[in-house]
Amino acid sequence: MFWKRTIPSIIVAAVGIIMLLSWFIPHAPFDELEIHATQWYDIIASFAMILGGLNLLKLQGRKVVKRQKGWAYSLAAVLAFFMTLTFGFMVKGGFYPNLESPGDNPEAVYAYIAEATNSDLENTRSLYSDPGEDGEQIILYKAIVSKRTAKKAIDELEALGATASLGELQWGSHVQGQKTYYRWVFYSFFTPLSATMFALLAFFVASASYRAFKIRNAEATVLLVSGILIMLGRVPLGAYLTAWTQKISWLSWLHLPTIQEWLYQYPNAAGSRAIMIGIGLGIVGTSLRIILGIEKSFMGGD
Amino acid sequence: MAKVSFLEKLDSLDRRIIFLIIALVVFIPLLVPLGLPVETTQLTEDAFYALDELPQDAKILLSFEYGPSTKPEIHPMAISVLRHLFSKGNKVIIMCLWPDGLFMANEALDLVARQEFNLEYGVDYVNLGYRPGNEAIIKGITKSFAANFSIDSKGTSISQIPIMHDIQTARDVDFIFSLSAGYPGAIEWVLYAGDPLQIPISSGNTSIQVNQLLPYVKSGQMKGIIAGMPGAAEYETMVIRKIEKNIGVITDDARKLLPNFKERRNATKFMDAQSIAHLMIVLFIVLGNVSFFVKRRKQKKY
Repeated sequence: MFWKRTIPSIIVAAVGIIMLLSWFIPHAPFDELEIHATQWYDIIASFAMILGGLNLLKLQGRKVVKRQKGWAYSLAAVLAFFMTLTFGFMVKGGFYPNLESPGDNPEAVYAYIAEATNSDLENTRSLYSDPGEDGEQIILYKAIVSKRTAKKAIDELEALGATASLGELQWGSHVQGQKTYYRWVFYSFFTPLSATMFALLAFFVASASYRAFKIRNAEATVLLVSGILIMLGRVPLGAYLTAWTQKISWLSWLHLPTIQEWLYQYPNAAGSRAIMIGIGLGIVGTSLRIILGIEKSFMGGD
Repeated sequence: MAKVSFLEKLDSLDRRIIFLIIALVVFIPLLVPLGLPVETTQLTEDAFYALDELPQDAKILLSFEYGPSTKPEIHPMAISVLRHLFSKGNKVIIMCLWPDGLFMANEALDLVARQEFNLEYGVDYVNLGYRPGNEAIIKGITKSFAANFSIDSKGTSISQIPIMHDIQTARDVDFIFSLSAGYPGAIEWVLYAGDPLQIPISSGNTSIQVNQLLPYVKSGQMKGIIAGMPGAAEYETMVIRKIEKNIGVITDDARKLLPNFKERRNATKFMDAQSIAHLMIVLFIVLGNVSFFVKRRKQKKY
């Protein structure tokens, strides 16, 4: 009980009080303590990613092993997890031929590079005619460039009389570098899947609004009318349809973007502010309860 | 048995028909653009002028907190904001609180900083990359950048990056702009950096986030918001208008790039489709209600 409850409570209370004091006393030692605390948080957050990964494996893995409903999707999740992990930590790609000198037959070398990089011969000539001291990186026209592909290109360049060496992106920077496996996973899997999921929302919103947006009472009517005004007022069509109101001064308030802006800035802002103040007070209350050791549910158990 | 009218049948319309209609009203305006004019609203104007009034030597912290799912809404804002800042000669420091934000930042920088403006990395802009820790990172950089970002996204020590030489903490930046699609995002920037350090802050968000953020705008804690794709289209229009009409500080490069900016209007080109889709959803709601009333009246009769 002492180790599981009392010690964590003391740590939480101490850190909470320090962070609270550092807000009001931005001087030594509190400002220093705040820097350390945020760095600890960063480190813990990084470890939390590992925990998250393990938790995903545990939950999805159990589904696969027990052949529970939808186990095939779980299998896809586990495989995707390992594939991304492999391309992040073990296999990176991102190799490239590094042109050090075009040699005695530069035109043939430029023609080869133009074809291999899928670019214009004139641009290629101006880009590669004067390689720097460290050479000039050749970005091959492929989604991923493995060591073997880069070496093959080097051999072909050398056969044409050029001097080229093998270059590679460093670990870490390969995450954002070109022609790497990790980048390929991001752009070929994650991006289209993620965009597709989000794009489906438009269809469901249309279908749901058709079925659920009904004038059942006064509140629903207000919601529906303001929803329609905002939907039309936010897009150029709304402005276009009510542009005529701008020519008659006493009707100018009927301009849909004006109505939309008013709805956004007054009734909506007032409602949002009320909700936020409520949430803020709730956070203050809960935080104080945690710091004072009254609230212990965050430690799990009873 | 009472005869079921067409209007009553509408209430149980197959959702696949709704999906098909939505797909068509989105596709057709994309293929045949209507060219509806984009009118600017107060929220976007406030954000634009807050950035526009910054002096030429101002340093802006741009934070990327969105991924592929919300890319259509927020990425055009990122491009427009970068075009706006670089067209004034401002320096930009980029960081990401979302892991996929790094890819979004690189894409935007590759287009605007490298291809369009041909700026020098480390001198005109820097990408510090992603760090886990959410608001703790924001709180951390209010005390020390180096403690939280010892290296940039390419693995270079920030002590070797010229743009970072006179930036020790978030206090040293002149403006914070958060491109955010959720948590952590604009609210956390206001709570942990903008408000405590009195750094002006603005944000580009998805449309659904505007409700939460408006109280901060109304209280002056945020300088306007770019709200969703319509906001992005408005911002694009304002950047083009500024350069066209030669208002304020504009670099020669920006003047040369104007035709390019006009051609690549990433948000404006989708506004026709969004306009018609919104109109169609409104029609669905009206039809749904007509059907609902016809049915209810019939039920009362019997």
